[in-house]
Amino acid sequence: MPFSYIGPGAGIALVGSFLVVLLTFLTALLTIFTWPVRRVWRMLRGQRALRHARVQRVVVLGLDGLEPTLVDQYLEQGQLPNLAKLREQGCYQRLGTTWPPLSPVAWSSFATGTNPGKHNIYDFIARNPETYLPAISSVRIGKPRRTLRLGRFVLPLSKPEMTLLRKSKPFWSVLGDAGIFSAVLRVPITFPPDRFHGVQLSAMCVPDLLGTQGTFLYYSEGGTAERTKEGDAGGDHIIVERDGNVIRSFLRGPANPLDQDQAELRIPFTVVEGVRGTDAILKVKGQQVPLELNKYSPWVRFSYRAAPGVSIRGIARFLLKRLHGGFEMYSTPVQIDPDRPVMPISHPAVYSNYLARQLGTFSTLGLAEDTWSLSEGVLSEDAFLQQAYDIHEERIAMFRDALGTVRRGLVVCVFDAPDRIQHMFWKFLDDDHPALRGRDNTHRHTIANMYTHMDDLVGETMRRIGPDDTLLVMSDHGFKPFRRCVDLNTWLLEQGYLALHEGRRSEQNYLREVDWSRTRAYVLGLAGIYVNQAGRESQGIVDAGREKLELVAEISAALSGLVDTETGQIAIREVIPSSQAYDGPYVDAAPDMVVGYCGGYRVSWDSAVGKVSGQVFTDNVKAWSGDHCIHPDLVPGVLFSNRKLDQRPADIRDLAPTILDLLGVGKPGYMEGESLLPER
Amino acid sequence: MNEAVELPIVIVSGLPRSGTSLMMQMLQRGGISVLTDGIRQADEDNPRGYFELEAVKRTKQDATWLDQAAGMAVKVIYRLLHDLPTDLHYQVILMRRPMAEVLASQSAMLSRTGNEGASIPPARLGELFSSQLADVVRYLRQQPQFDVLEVNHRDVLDDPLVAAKSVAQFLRRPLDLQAMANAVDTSLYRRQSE
Amino acid sequence: MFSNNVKIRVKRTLHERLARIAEVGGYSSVDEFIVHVLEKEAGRLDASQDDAEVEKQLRGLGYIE
Repeated sequence: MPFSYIGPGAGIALVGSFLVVLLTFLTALLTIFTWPVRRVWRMLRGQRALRHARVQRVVVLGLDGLEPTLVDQYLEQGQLPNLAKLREQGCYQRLGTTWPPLSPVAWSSFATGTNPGKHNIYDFIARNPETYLPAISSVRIGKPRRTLRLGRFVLPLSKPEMTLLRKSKPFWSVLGDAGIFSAVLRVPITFPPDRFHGVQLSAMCVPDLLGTQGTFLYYSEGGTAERTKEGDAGGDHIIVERDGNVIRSFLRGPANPLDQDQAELRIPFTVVEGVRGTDAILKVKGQQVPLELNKYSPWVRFSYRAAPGVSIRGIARFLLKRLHGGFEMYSTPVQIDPDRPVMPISHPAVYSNYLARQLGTFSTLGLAEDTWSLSEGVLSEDAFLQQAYDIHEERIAMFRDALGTVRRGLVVCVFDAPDRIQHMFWKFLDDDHPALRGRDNTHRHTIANMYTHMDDLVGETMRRIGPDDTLLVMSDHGFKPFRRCVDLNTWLLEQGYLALHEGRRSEQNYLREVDWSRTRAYVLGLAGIYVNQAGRESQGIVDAGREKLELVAEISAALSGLVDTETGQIAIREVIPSSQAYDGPYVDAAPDMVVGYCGGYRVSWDSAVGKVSGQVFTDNVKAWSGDHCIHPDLVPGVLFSNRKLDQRPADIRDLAPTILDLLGVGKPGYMEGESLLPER
Repeated sequence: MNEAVELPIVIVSGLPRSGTSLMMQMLQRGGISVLTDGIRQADEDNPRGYFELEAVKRTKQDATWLDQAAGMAVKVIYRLLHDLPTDLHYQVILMRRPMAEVLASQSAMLSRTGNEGASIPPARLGELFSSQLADVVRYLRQQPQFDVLEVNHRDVLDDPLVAAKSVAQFLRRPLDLQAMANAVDTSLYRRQSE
Repeated sequence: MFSNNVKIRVKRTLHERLARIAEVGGYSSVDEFIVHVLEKEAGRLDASQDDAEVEKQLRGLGYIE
């Protein structure tokens, strides 16, 4: 998934360690003194609120990307006994998803009960109409308001501004206003975290310490050092130095936010091979971590020294891939340490510390599972699966903790393993997949096994909840094969809607070679087409009125039903103007048209990052072989419940009102969904 | 008796310091009369002269200077093109030059004259110029009274004769191409970006 | 003290009026509506200030009056 660098200095907040300690101490003091009053107040409010509730607790188990046709198939084959039981007890139906059916969009609609026109999230990235460059759609990180120069150091005197760009109001805030406590774990688009009566752990798009959505590090003796990117995530290949049986290298770190030159911080390490009893030992920052071939190390914690007394903590896991015949080692992206986070990743701030102390260090990266390393061939399928399941286990531990401590109110936890594993392993379900050509189907049952794991989790949850609890198991969208790419920018070029500067073939990202003076429409991102609008885009040429309307109608008509010239299949089911898809105060931020691809198709990798590859239809041969950024009617999610729900077609926007209804809170006027509870 | 059809007015336009004076000089050497008042004298920034007409700045209030402009070449900065009356026919030669060079040249001129310019960072100023120029170009291409030829400053320096030919072709007038090419003295053109 | 937010006061009658508009507009709260309106207006004003700067540059160079 292509993203942009999230912001200056990765938004690292360093107000100085002493000040941080003092602040934490004062906050803690205040919390302690006012605790009795607040406790009583909350008890009264909570009891009053829950007096109207139908249940004492709602538990939402979010299984990102669970696909209903596979659920149906595995249910029939008897492989999902717990989901079968849940269906028996309550119900099972499809869950309508969003335009486009992408996690940031769908989960935002889940949270707010509204369409993107009201919550402002249309894709992972938004484009800046002044520069035509992409930016993460959900968070803006600015520089600290005040700084102090001290020699070569620049000290921030205030925290960098970090703003969640998801608008409207999530239902857990509405619950909180009514005195009902919520635990919101790893729900996408909660970074920076909301402030409400409850606890929250941020998820998508928490960056790594380099400020990206996940840059892995790959160490080897041979080859060329290089950086591979898909947008701004990807990996760094670092060539190590060898001195006998000692390997020397370094961990990349953040740009030093205190340094006027913003030099990159690094931590040197050595790996000593063949130490008795181990395959190797990693020595970093005074720690000695035994490494075993093809086995992940535990989380290693370390700190980068930004200035005297000021350090930035990070964590990473290592996988020793090869020793003899050339050293090779993989490191996960270096991530925020949940026990010493350099930017807010939870609410309250100490919640991530609490989780780390209770459950051990865990992955804090928004897109935690490192799919790019599998794409690049740095990790094998099995190594990636191991990583994904390790993260899954961390998530289960947090979920269990929340279930144990939040007995009344709401517990919601999202598990990303289904989504990541289906993205990377779909080809093994599909013998005709272009990405499977020329290789054996070695992982035919991986996805089925994953569904079984999820069913186990459902089973455990059902055992842990009580008779006064309602359980909802849901997915935000489904999944389909991604076999063929559609390069929409090339189509626009061929049809005369987009022009490149004279004599240029576009080898560059982000539309850099586009001649805006002759371009009327362009694509950036996974689902939308933008008009190069005068007065909006800095070099726009299309009039906002009639000319734009006609252009949108023309392009939509031409693309709806677009046939793949090589296969004869229909590639695009429908393109609709955003005015038809969205309604609300933020529709101006939407792309002008949204594209509903047919199953098997998706926008091409090149087109999504603003390249013009020259071929409209190509095979998708990447490891990322399943996707869901297509027509929403083709990839609804699932909804299971342990209680009977109204059997009308359910939409993801209905969940917020349903949860509010269950807990006895009135539905606010801005929410569009309707409660799924049958009439009393 | 038929009235002779008036020749269109030749407009040389673009951002300030994008090569408009150079083009005016080429046109003059090529045989086109230039409409200028000589108020701004030649100086270090424009050793061959500015070729400007003060009255152009007041076009919105008083467009009478256009009465005698048929067939003549006049310099009108990009921003003032909107003020030109719509009932006349114009052939616009729009000079293009890389923004970094334009800004550097503007900055040098402001230093030399001691005048005050914008107080925003050059990068931002460049963005605004680009955006406004794009608006103007769009306007020109939509209006029937404007024929437009875009000329790259670098192309003129690299091959003045070819540039002269394309201008002559655009204007549909017989011009002394060699004299136009000779007007380009590359030694005058410093402040190129590296 | 270390917050990135500041408080603004408006008359109650104006606030009530804004609340009604916010509800019709699809906003989740009157605060959300106010912030959105202010952001849009600030963007517009920034743009007109930018234009003034371009004029200053052109005037300094002697190209406009």
